[in-house]
Amino acid sequence: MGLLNSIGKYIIYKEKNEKKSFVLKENTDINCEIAQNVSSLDVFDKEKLEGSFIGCPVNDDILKNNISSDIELNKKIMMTTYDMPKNSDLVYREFNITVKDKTLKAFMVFIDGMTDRTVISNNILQPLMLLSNLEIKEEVKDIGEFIFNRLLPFNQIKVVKDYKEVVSNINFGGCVVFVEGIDYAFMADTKSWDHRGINAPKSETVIRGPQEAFNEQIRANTALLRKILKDKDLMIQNVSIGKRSNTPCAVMYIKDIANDSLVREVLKRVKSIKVDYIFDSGELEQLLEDNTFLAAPQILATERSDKVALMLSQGNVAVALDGSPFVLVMPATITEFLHTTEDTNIRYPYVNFIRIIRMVGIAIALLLPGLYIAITNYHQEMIPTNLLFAIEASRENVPFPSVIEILIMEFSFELIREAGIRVPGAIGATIGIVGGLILGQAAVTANLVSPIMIIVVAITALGSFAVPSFSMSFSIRIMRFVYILLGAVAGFLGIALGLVLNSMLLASSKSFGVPFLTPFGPVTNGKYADKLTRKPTWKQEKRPDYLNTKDIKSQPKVSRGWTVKDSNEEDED
Amino acid sequence: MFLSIALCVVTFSGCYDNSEIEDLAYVMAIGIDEADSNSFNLTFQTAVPKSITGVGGGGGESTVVSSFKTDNFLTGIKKANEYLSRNINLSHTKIIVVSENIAKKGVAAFLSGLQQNMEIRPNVNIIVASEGAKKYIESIQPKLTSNPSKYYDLLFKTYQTDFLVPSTQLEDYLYRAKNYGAQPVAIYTEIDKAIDESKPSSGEGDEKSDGESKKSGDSEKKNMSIKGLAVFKMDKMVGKLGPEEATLFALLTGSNNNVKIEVTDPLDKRFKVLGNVIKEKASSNKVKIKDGKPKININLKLNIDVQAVQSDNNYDEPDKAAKLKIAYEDYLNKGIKSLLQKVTYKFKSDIFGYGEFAKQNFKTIDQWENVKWPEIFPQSQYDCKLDLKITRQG
Amino acid sequence: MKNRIQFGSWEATALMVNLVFAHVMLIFPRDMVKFGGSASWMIPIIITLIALGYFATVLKLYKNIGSLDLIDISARIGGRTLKVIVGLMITVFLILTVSIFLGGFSQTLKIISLDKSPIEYVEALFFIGMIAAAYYGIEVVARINSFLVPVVIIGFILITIGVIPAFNINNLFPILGEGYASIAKGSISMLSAFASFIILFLMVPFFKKKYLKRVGFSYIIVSGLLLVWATLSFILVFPYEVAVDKKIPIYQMARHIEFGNYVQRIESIFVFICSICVLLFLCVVFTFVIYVFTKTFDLKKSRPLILPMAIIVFSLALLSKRTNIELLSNNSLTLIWLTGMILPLLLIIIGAAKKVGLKDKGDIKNRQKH
Repeated sequence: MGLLNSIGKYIIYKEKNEKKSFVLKENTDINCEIAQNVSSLDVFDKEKLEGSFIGCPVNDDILKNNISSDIELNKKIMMTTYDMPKNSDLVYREFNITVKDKTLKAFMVFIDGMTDRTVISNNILQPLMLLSNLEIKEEVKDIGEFIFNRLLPFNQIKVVKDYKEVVSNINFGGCVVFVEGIDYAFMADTKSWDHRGINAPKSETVIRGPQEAFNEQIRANTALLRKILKDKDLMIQNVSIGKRSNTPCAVMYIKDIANDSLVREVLKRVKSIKVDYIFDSGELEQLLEDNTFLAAPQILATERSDKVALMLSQGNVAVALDGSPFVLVMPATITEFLHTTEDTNIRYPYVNFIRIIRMVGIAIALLLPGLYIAITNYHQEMIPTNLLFAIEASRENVPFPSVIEILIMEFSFELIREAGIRVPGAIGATIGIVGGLILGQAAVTANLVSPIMIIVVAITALGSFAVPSFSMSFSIRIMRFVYILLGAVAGFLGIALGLVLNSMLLASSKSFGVPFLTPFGPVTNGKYADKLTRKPTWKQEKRPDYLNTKDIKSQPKVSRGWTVKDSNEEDED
Repeated sequence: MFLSIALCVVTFSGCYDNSEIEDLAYVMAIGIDEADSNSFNLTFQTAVPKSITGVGGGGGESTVVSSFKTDNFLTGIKKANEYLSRNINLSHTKIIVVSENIAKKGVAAFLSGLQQNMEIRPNVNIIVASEGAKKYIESIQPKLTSNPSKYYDLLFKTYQTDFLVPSTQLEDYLYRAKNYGAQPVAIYTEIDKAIDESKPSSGEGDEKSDGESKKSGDSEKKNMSIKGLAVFKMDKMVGKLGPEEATLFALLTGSNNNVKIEVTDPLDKRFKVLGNVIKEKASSNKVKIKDGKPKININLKLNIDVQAVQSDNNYDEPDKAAKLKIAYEDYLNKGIKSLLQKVTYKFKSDIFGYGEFAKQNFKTIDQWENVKWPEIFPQSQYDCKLDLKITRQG
Repeated sequence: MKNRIQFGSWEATALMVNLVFAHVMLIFPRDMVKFGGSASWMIPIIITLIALGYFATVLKLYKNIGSLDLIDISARIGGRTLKVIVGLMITVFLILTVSIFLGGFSQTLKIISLDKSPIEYVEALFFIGMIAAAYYGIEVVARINSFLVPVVIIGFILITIGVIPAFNINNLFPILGEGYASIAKGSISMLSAFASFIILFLMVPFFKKKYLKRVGFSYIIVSGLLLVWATLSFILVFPYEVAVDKKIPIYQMARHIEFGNYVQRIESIFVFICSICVLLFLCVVFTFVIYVFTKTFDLKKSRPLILPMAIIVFSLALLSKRTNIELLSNNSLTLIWLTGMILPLLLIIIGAAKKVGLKDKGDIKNRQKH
């Protein structure tokens, strides 16, 4: 029988079951008011609109209303707003409160997973359900006030009056209690969810300095800053961004150092952003910056708390967004992108040595391929004779002209860099070795590239890693290609032209009113001691004056008290 | 969009000068020989990079020597380009060799053409070869290194302690060839029979005797070595100086403050004493013009470090040191006098550059040019003062 | 608030020094030697002293003028017609300067390295730089000058220090060179190096009045030092007979740098430095062309002007190739250069006489240049 069946499968034609395919229909606009009174329509329209009232989104106008004392109405509005039985993680709990022999109905709404269950049970439900029975020796005038003052022993309770606030608070981990007969509701801030702890910074590592980085919780981040600065004048203003996401965002500054107009400008820009959802501070940076198309960044994004604290103490303004471990600091000039926090922490000779190496590294990362092309193609007489022969001998068999060769190498190196980010951890290290050494060696043996080129590209890559800031290194990588092309076109003249144009581009851009190339562009007066090389710590007397801070002095002239001779001291013996 | 296309066209059409490094042929040495009437033979010694560095299978000659007959410089370069199928690049040329016949006829025409060329370095050395330029270039075989340019660099630096002077370099040579203040010199080379190279190892006898002159018709490659200096008047060669004279010349003109001079040992006539003569900064030259005749005062303060004594006499003792000092003084006085006389009266050419010092006597350039230094120079009188001090090197 | 261009004294000084320095880079030492022979180092000293005297005179006159630049002064003196005339003259003068320099420098560069490229191509590269500069405005140009010019000057000083081993004191004799008459003639015509005084007076409203003195004197002293040093080192390296033939003095000097076996032939660094210097020079002067033109005719927008002006400059720069005149060091053109100094002086004298900057009328002191 089975055999017959299987033979039959091949001989007899059997009709296949048709799979139903899905077609994404256009969104039909349902007029909600008509759908509300669906029963009063005639037959044809009724069919179409039946049941669609459920799908009708709640008109936001309802939410603008104030809470009514009718608990049934509140219940209905909450149910329809959140589509309660369907939306499975919203919890709806009805209970009774007894106050002075009066039993009131109440209910509460919260989102499971975003709230702390223990707190809700112990600090909100328990007192309301049980303790309301206790004898309270106080005159009960107003039930609502009584509940607020006595029956809710929780440390963050707010009274909310309209549905919009209720909804936005529930969305962010609050728990709202409605009581019969009271025309406002109580909102408790019971946020708690699983999150990453405070770890070492992933992208900006230093040897000497604290290893605490921001994480995605805005409260934890602001707490880190408060802990470092301990200044009573540190202001943390809260702004909510995003029409639907209502992401909290904090603008931080030190009140009597930062310039007022700067603070106002930052607040103005942040408050005027209109988007639906905002997810990361990267988006916020793009929405706040002056010039989107400039290759150099204008706002500094950092993961380290000590860097933000340092910049706040100099008079800058910081913006933190919930959900992103990168905090934005503005205004940012070119020196901010070239300094690390380690520079403040290590000794004077080491700092300047490291700075010099870093500057040379950056110059190499930007200019070395371009200069190499310019010299070998146009100015061969500059090369010492022996080196010239070495280069010539190694390039004998390479089929490409040197420009194409270096572009290929640079491009493949950028590819390796980009691919290396996503390679899974175990293979990551080996890819580095494979990609670098073996492939490079194989390419040289196959006479595709010359060994000199590999050295040039490798040194350039090393130089680009010397840049402390991630976005700045991107801009250097982009500009390097332009220099290669210019060097190939006109030798040193092209490179000089590139330098001048580059400087003009950078010099004309402003970051929140401060020219980008301060303190080299407009040469600022004042003893700002941290431009290229850094003077010793006890000489850093003034804050950078391009920020026009209220208080310019950060240290007195003699900041080491022990260096002054104490006249009372006995120095005989 | 049109503008961007135009920009692209302009940009990429302009890469005329973009020449890849391996498309060029680098010339190490240029030689000029005479051919019939107006033409001359131009010799180029080009480097072959691959065999120099040994990358990708070395072997073979490290340089290629090729000759072209032409009547002017540019045609010669063009012919070389065709022959080598690469563009000639002169920016790494190290020497220019001229044969003695051409030197006697006058060199300026060739060399001026070379100097206008921006590629040639101004410190290229000029060499006069008695056998002809091509033979000289061919006979140079890099002995210790396979890299000809390094060979040339080291060659001239090693000899710096002896008598190589800056005035043999192209820039100075041309300046002196055209002006009155001083006259040019060039390096002179000849076949050196005293050098004998045996095949397996390179052992050389280092003594230089007076080399004999031309031995033509020899099919073997003879070894050429630097023999002294060639003296020019304007741009024609008028004579040559031997090695000892050249050493004294270097001492007098002050370009090398450090020369090695050997004298016969005063206590033992069979042996020699080698000393390192250092000229101190206090030495000076003064030129005064009296009655149309120059009077030249030469004041030399010398420090002599005795370096090697062949006999075992101990020259630390004061009386022996005094004898040595007298020996040196004699030698130097005689040598300088004969050199000055030879140059001034026989060659009549001011290679020492005293004309430059004479300029101090005049206020304006017109006065100086009216004097016509080359004509009054042969009548000059010298007054030479030597001040020696002998120290013994530990 | 946004339209007010402001920059500090360092930027103004750097800008002005660069304008003189470009002359040094190209032709100045050789022209000096043509006039002075072996005593040509005296000429820059004389020129500097004359310039100092000139500036001191003008400064005293400026007390009556306040913070106005040349165009405003001419407007106050003679009304709109004089303003237009003066503005046009200044514009034409600056355009000529730019074209001559552009042509001259492209020729120089062609001799050194970009031999086979057509000259239009080399000029096109400068063209791009000039347009970008005019697009961004004076303030940006002043800012980049303030940090690029010190780099250029340090590079130049390093070149001259590197040839110290080749110095030969005897080249300075005969002391008086070509003679008094020739030196005097040389001083007058070489004053053209300071033709950029006119730009200083155009820049006056941009920085605070009290800095004018500081900017002017430091600029003259620094440029004077540079000129003297350049000529001195040039003469010390090359005797005067040879020096007259050198087409590009500093380049030829740089070819003599030699330290040991491997640091040789780094004269291409000169190409680099010179390109930056001349680029900055051209950018500055071109930006001022646009600015003066806009101000003269009271135009609101200056951007549309840039491209036509640039094309005019470009075509004029090719003039020198067509007519086979070497415009850079032509003696008859020095008269045009001198306009740069005489014109402002005249205007300032008249302006001071009429006290255009002050409201009250006091004694009118009329100072004449001797």
